[in-house]
Amino acid sequence: MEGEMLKGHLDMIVLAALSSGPAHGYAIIEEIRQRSGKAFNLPEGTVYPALHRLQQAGLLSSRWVTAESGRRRRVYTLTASGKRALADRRAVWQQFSAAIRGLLDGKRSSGQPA
Amino acid sequence: MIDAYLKELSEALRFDSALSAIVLQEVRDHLEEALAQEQLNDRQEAERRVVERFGDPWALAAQFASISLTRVMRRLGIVIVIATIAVMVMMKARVFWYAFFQWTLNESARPFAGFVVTVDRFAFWFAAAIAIASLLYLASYRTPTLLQARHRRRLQRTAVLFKLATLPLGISVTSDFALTALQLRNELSAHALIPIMSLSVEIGCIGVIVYLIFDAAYRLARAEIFAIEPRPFSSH
Repeated sequence: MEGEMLKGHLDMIVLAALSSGPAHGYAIIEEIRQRSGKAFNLPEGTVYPALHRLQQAGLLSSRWVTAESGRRRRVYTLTASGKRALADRRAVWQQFSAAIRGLLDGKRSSGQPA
Repeated sequence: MIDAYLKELSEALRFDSALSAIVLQEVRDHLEEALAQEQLNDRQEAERRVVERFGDPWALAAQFASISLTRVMRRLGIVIVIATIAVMVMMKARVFWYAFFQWTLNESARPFAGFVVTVDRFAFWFAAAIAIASLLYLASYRTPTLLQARHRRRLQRTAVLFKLATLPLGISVTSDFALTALQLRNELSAHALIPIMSLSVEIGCIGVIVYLIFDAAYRLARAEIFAIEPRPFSSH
């Protein structure tokens, strides 16, 4: 899938990837890749500014841990605000997705004027 | 290849050394983790693939520039508002102190002191109004993904507003200095310590603001390159 198409939804994608639990940058990218069936092909580095931006907005928190390899790594977690933001974005996305599906399938929603 | 990439990323992030240290650590961990998942028959080739997948360091730095500069400006705005409140508290504390000890000004100094108090009052409220307005202006727009020229111009306008707020605040503190000097010239005792300390806090607040304004201007200037066009990464 095109990077430009994904960029507008990157924040939601990152929040969704963290919904299964705390993770570091590389694991988040792997999670996105696996959960999207390898359909999302963004430059991997793009995720890091998104993580910092979401943390600045209070949607994520982070802490440094030492990995088994001995490297220091930063682990991100969804905050309560982040969970609420993800739920809101999921609802908006599902509404949008249903509307587009209806449009593409050529079906008319009942009760709406022609 | 990984070291060359991190060196170039470090150069691209030089507008924020604290952020640079954090990002470099994160990116190094990512690249080494990714390298560990690669077939290492040809390490050079594996590193090239890992770096290529990560993306252009200048494009990455452009995204961090937007986040970093917005954070710096927000911090500056909050510091100005807090400093303005601190100046007001210090002024009120001095007035209370003088009333408590029943210190009054000489008759001859009163007309000048009255003029300075008027200047002080107007300058202070002018500074407070601009500081709050500039913080609201900054909070009114979302941080874009990239440091586009438009976002940079907004940040520059905010910086101008902050300078405009600092100028009258400086005038207010200078007025306080003059009033305190008038008040204390015949009252130099241990009781004068509180007015002197409160005035020192006001001067310290102005010093911190001026330092942060210069720091923000320096960072904006360093990040100027990103407002035009990200540079492509070249490992050669």
